[in-house]
Amino acid sequence: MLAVASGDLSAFGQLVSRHQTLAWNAAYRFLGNTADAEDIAQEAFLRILDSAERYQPTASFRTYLYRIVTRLCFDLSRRKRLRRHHQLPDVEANWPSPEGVSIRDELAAAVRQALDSLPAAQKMAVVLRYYEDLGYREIAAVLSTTDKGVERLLARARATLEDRLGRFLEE
Amino acid sequence: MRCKAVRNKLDRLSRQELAPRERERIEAHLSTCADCRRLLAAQERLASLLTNLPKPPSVPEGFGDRLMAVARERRAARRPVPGSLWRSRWLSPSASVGRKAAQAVALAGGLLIGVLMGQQTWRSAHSSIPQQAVAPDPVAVYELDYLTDAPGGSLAQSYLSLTKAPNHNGT
Repeated sequence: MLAVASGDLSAFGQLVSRHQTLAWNAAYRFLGNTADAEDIAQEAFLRILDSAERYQPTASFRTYLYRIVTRLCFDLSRRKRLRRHHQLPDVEANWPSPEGVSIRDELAAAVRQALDSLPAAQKMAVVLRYYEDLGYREIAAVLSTTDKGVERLLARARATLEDRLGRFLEE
Repeated sequence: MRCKAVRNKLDRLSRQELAPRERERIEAHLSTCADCRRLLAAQERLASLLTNLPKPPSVPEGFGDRLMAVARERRAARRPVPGSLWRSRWLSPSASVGRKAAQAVALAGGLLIGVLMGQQTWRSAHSSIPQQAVAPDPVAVYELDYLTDAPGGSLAQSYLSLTKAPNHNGT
């Protein structure tokens, strides 16, 4: 980051190639489509470049990147929610009909739908915990909360997910 | 330990994130509480369901190249144009103490000159009032003494009164 702050674009290029998968995966898991995920991942790196001179290494770079991706995802989902609210589209149209899809696809679609029903902070906590495999302390740093705050977010998210995915969870 | 406190920690127990002492206390509770054991099993099934989804697609091809192209454009746009360098140096926090001291002296000098000039202007404005007060008598200047003996209400007296009026010269 020091090299990036001094204007070294090749150092920035190395940073991108080392961490692009992380930014992309988190954004994709949260947003659920490639176009938005690419926009968010790209914007996250550009913000890092623009603010490199002010960067304070108070946390690991990984945590810093997750935090920026998270904020951008929250902003985008807020804008999209507002747009949906005004346009009143058919939300179900995004999901495949039950006919002709495999159980695995049906399961994936159901999980996606259940995740999308969560409030943004709960959803990102689930993404970071279950898909990015972050510990509670790092999730707390990304979401600017405490370990207990993460426990509560995940507990509420799990309650909703268990409710919505109950048929797939029966013993 | 109470069930509620245990349930909030079950996920961290699965992730082996708890301190040894806390883990022992929770395991002791689980050995006697069937409800909490069922909850732990349900959480593990949910975790398995969530993590068995297909992996996200790879980072789109050319993502890094596109990002670097935008980064280069932004950097080029931010590069200072000739002549603007002094401004960035003036505002830069890294400017030397000596330079800042010189700037302060120049500023103080400018202020002092401004105050002196203001005083000068104030003095000249106030000294102009007595000059007006001692303006020459038009009767003496234009030798109109011979009209002063004219009877009151005559044309000569009217002319004299007009000549002596304060705005006789049209100001």
